Amino acid sequence: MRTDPHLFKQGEAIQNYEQKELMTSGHLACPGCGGALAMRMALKELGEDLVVVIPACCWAVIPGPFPYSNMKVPLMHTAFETTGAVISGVRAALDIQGKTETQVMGWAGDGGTFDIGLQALSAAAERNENVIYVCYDNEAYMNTGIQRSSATPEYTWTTTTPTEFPEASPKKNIDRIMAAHAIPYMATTSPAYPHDLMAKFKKAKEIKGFRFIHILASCTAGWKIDSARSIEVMRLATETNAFPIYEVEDGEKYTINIEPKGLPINDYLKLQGRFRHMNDQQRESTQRSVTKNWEWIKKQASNS
Amino acid sequence: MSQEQNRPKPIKYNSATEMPYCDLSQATMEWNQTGTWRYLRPSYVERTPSCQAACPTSNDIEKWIKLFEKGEIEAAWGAATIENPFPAIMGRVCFHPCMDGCNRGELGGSVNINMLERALGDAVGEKLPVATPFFEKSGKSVAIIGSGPAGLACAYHLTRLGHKVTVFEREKKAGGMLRYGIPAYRLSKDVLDREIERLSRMGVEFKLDSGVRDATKMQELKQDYNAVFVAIGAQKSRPLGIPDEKTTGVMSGLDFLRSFETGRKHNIGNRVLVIGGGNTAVDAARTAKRLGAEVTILYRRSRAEMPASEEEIQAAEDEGVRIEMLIAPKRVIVKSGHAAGLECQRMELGEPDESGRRRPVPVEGSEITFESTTILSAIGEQIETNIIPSSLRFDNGALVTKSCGQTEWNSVFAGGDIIEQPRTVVDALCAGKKSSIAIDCLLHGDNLDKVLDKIQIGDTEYVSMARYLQHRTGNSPILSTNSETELLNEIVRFEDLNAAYFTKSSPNESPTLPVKDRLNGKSFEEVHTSPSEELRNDELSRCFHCGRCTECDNCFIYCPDVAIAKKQSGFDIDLYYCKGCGVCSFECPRAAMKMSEEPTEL
Repeated sequence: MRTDPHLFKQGEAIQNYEQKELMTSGHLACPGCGGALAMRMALKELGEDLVVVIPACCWAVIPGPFPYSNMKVPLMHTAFETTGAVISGVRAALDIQGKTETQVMGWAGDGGTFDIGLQALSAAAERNENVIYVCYDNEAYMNTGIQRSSATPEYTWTTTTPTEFPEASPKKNIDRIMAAHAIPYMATTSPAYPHDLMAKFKKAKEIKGFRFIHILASCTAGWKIDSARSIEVMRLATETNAFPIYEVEDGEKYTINIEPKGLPINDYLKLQGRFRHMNDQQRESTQRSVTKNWEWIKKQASNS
Repeated sequence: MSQEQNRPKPIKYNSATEMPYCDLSQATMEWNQTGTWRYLRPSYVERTPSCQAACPTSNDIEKWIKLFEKGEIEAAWGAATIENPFPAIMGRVCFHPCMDGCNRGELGGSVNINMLERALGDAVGEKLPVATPFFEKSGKSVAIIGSGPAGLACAYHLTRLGHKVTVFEREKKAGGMLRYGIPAYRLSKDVLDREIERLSRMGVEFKLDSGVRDATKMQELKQDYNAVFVAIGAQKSRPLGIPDEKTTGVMSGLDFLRSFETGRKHNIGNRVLVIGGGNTAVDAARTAKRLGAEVTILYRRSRAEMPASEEEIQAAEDEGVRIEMLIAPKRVIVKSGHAAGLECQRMELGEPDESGRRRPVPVEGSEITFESTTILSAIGEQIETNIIPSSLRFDNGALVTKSCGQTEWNSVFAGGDIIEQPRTVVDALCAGKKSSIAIDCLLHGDNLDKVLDKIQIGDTEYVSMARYLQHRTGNSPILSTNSETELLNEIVRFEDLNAAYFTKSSPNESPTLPVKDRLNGKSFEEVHTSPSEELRNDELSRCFHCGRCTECDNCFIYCPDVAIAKKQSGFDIDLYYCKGCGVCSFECPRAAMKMSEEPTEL
């Protein structure tokens, strides 16, 4: 599968998707939220025969308070660290009722995935539960007020890593952790490439077993960006190799889905207030690590 | 906002017993008017593409390209002919300034609009659709003197505006410079005849072989008609001003070109010298080449200063025409009463003159002679002033006019080469259209200056007939069909586009006849040929559609608030929910949206 995001010719742009909306307006996401957009696109492909499980994260707030929801599918709120366990349980309950075709999706933020929910996630992956686990990754605990998580990139400003002491460790590579579980499907994607995002959910739906989808989700407040540039920033994350878009099947078969332009990392950094304090040395170091990671992925893709 | 009545309302529980047995959601969030968060609101707009702003006829190229691409050929032709009467002609002879304006130029090369325009004219071709008038017959009549491009354009637009038009032409056939100045290998006479036939069918009356020969006749026309448009062009070749230039064997390039249409034949021999660097010189040279002569163009400046179009110069060189730069004629060498050659002097470039080009200065003692059987002079054309009444002033060889070609006699207008403007076909069409609008305003008692403000494209001098029609009737056949789309008189530049959505691609060249075919057998067949459908479609797809919605769905799919709905045609923004993030407008590839400050209600 090779999706070319640049083929936006007249009349054949990002069309041919499910017209039905399973997410409603009136939700509580900030203007320009990448996470809200990701859910809208994902639901379009997953369809109505679906149960969604959401732990504590932005998306615990976005659907609205009791007695409302912004989703036209069942949505179950759960505790921070339990997503992997709850989706396993929902799956088992559905299977006992004979509803084996119903999809179960866990939808957690980077905090609930990289940090707090990692053991439950790993256990569910190890059991190869027949579920989809989505991490929408805005690279910090945004909902509680922008605290760093292990998904926060090195040198990033957050409220717990102020500019004098910016984030000291590189972003945890959750993709390699999940690929190492040798699950049937692991993919990264971003709402800046709707073609790719929706194609991946479509593909995931056809696969049995544990599927992990890692979505980059821009956060206008936490990244300190202009809401109008929300998509552009995510597009640049991929074009600069900061967030490569690829997939891994059965832990071995790597495919690069979006061929990036390989723009300098500064094109991505300079649009965001959370990186504004970075000095040249830090920028160069980021460029090196981003390139290294990209080269590694390219090597895997060419070897498989 | 009656729609608001039907919005879902929040649920009210009067007691705990009304609540569900556990915390189960009962309704969607659609009661929540997130539109109140907004301080900027998106909307759809139509801006002016840069190609249109660069075209003297302000042809809405994007509109007809879009229709042409959909295969709606007659509709495309209809859209194109609102501003420009002759796509088939202009697709052949225009020097296409639109392509210099084209934003695609920044990403691989401008769209070959010229080729597409020709393809459009030819696709309609023989079917001869006739442009229908926009208005009922006004009962007013207008006389047009001269049937060149300016006269024809004025006749066309005035007829569509409902007036009765009579065109006076002194030659036996209509067309002016299009017929007598442009050789058949650039514009086939069949195509020209066809386009003029179209005008006759629209109801334009042509009085051929009946030129206006003196100022008295013009006075009469002024009496007999509600308005007069003078478009006699510049038909007189400028003399070389060197000794013996009246000798046999020396003739004007223009007369030489004209002779092909009038049937006079000249024996030009095998060595032809052409003096001049403009389009007439190049046309004369390429024509002489086709008659089998060895041709040399002598030009007194360097190639960069040559006024002829670069493409024509290149084609002449391809066909074997030699171009000698920095050479000026000094005297004609006469042998037994016939010009046998030219004594010339080498030049060098000095300081820039008033035209901004560097002035050629003679190099002492650098005389050089060229042998010749015929010398063609083409150093420029002058206006025949004898039919213009003496009360109308000339300045610097051009008739003095006010805006839109109006002369000091209010009901007499002038346009084309007779007034001060670039001497090109497209500028002539522009002048014809501007005067037709000014005449229409005069006949309706409308204030021209106020109208001009509404119909000018951006900050250019060019006017749009579509906008004029909108001014007259309140709606226009070419502007956006979506009433919610706001028309902005802003020109879209490359930096206004979202370049992430376009990839680099090279333009398709217009198909041309191989050089060897041009010079034997098919001599006067058109050098450029119509593109194949495949080539044409590929080129059509390169258009960015700057400033115009193509329903690419970006705004729809990128809305995090599900506030944009797709309609049968176009989109609807639900301002009840839109949070005003601006993503839709920013991600619009072609600047067809804008964000504006939320109106404050007091």
